[in-house]
Amino acid sequence: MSMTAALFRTKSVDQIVAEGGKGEGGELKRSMSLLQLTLFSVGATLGTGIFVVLGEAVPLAGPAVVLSFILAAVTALFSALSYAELAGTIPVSGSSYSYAYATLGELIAWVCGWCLLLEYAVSVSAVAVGWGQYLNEFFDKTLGFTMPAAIANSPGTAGGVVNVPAVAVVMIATYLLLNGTSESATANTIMVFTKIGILIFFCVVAATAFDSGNLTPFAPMGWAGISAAGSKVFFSYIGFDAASTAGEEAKNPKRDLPLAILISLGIVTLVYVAVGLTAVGAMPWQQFDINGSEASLAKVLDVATGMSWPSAVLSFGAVVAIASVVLTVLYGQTRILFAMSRDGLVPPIFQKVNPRTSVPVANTLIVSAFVSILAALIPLGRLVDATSIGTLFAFALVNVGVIVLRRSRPDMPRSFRTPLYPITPILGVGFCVYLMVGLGAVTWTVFALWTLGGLVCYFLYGRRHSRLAQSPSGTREQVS
Amino acid sequence: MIGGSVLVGYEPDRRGADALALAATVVSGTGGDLTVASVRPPAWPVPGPGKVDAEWEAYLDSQAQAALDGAAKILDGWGLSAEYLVTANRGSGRGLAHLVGKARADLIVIGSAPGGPRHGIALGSTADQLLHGSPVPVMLAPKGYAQRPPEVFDRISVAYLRRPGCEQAVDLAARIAVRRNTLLRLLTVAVGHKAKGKAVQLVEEQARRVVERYRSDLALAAKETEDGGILTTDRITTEVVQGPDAQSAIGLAEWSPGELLVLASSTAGPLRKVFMGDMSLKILRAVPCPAVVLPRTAR
Repeated sequence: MSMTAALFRTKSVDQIVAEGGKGEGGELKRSMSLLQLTLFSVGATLGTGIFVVLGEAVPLAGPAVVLSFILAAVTALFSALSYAELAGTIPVSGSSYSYAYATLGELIAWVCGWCLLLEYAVSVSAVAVGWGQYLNEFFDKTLGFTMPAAIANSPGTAGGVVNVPAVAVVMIATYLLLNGTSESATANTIMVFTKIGILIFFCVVAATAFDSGNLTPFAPMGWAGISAAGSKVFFSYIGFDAASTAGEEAKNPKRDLPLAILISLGIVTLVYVAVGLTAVGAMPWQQFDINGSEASLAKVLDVATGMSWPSAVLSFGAVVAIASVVLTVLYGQTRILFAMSRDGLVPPIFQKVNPRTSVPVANTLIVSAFVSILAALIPLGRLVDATSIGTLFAFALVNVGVIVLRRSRPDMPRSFRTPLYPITPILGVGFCVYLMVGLGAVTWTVFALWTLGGLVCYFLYGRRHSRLAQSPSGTREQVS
Repeated sequence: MIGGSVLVGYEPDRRGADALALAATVVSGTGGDLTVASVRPPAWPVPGPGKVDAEWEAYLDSQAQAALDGAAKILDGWGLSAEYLVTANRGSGRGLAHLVGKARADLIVIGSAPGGPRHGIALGSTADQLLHGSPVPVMLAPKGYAQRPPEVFDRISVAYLRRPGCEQAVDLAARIAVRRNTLLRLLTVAVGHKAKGKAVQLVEEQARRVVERYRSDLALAAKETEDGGILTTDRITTEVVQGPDAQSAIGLAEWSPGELLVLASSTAGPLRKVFMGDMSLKILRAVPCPAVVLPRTAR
């Protein structure tokens, strides 16, 4: 096999499909109605990004941050449709990494997986840091004390040395994952309602201090600011692909999937826009401090009401909600690395499971150690910005993957086809690229360095250990 | 009739082998159907960011399938055929209990949990979940059963105490004994404390009285069983074993190579957790033979 051929070897889609889903767990019933799909998707999307993202996004866009939310939602919409098509074609694959491997080849799949490391591991560190700040806010408002700055902040910000709360939340999540805990459907429902309740609470309280004067100038940074903020807030839409992957369970995927994606993104956008609008209406946008606390919603309530209990309530909700996100995202990262390890692209230790619980123990420990160190000791700053590019890049690849698979395998049975092909996936790529371009040069440099590091790893390890490399036909050998 | 359709919880280890061997002994007498099941952990039940665990799930399914292929090889060697199922559940016991309907099983057979002493039955989480939630009786293989499986059950014992709920166990044991054409033994374990000095006589007197009472209870139970028209008295034996603790008392009883013990679960427990009598648990841990437990949740 020539070098180029090796770099673009793909996993055979037929074989992937044939390998998976023999057990009862693989046979899903088509039972989800449009309403259920929509709620499922809203629950997965309405995340905690909104709790931490305004402090970064508002300084970029000003009150026009509400347009950034809409821009991000449109981007998410097209990518979600592409996700839905790939999930319906290759149902036994899970992440954008696997889709890229099946359609675009090993090298791009690797880069995609490497970007997912940003999307998951790096962004969860940032979220864990935000958790610590909301916790501190909560302690401050209820018990009247804050943790000393040295243990409550990461180095480089406000006199921090080690960010202990961030490590604590990662440790709790790790402990649960090692015990094979999975978030139950009930816990998830409670969590979704907690999040919605807290956000509505925020809107109502912030609306009491609404001052329309705060909205002018509306877009002080112009479109450049809006798109830059759009790529930041895109992070708060992660999870929108959940409905897409439920396509196998939808009663009528052709009609319901696009509708569910559209409606749920509409609902989520509405909530975000309401939060954004009331936030900038209650507190002049210049006061959103890019280097300050990530507990920006709590800060808005402080400024807006001058009372302490509303931000205490909000902080408590954020503490609960962010903790559950840390758990799910850590879980996601371990499973993506598991898949990559099974393909031979990362060392085999990532696919070793505990025989009793079937939990990839070493994998989980390595990931949580990595995340803890990032969250506790590294000033994340620019690296977190780079997660936006990485995430958008991974989603762009999913859109491209749809086009590639339609051309290379038009015969594959697809339980869902994205409407208006090829316009939707092309628009999907376009919007992703547009948002990526909006990010600053420094962020691009960080992203380039990150990707370069990934390529070095690939050529030193992954390329030679790839399971595809070991089976000369270029298709994945049967799992023994 | 119990044993007409047997569900076996299988894992590719000592436990699984013991359970298979025991299930084979059961169906050798009843000619019943076998279903072998493997329970794997489920995927994340709620949406996270993407369906990231698809590959992990596929892997678990392939592992479970491989385990069942191993079981099929063993059963083929014995000339037995079976149905094979994989299910996803966070608890292996709960997973098996869910499969009862699908397999139309009237008995679940599992092996002993790892750890603990080398012989006897060890209850782990699988057994615990089943004993709290199985709709059918649960049969447990002692450790190492696969190394010395008897051809047939040659005697059915029932751990007897004159308590509500125990008649069901006696009834079940008697039916099995009739079906298998074996003897039925009503066994009562009497446990007394060791005493020193002057107290010895007193304690001995007490113990004698307890044993006497148990004897008459047993005689009565034996008569009831006979009156029930199930067995004749000459096929029923009674025995009281006495020791300082359950383990030594069980050790003093005589056990035939093809013995099967039937135990009831106490109906009187105020909490679900303690539904199984303390004595039943101690007996289970000590017995050298397989045991059938009637969970309170059994139909």
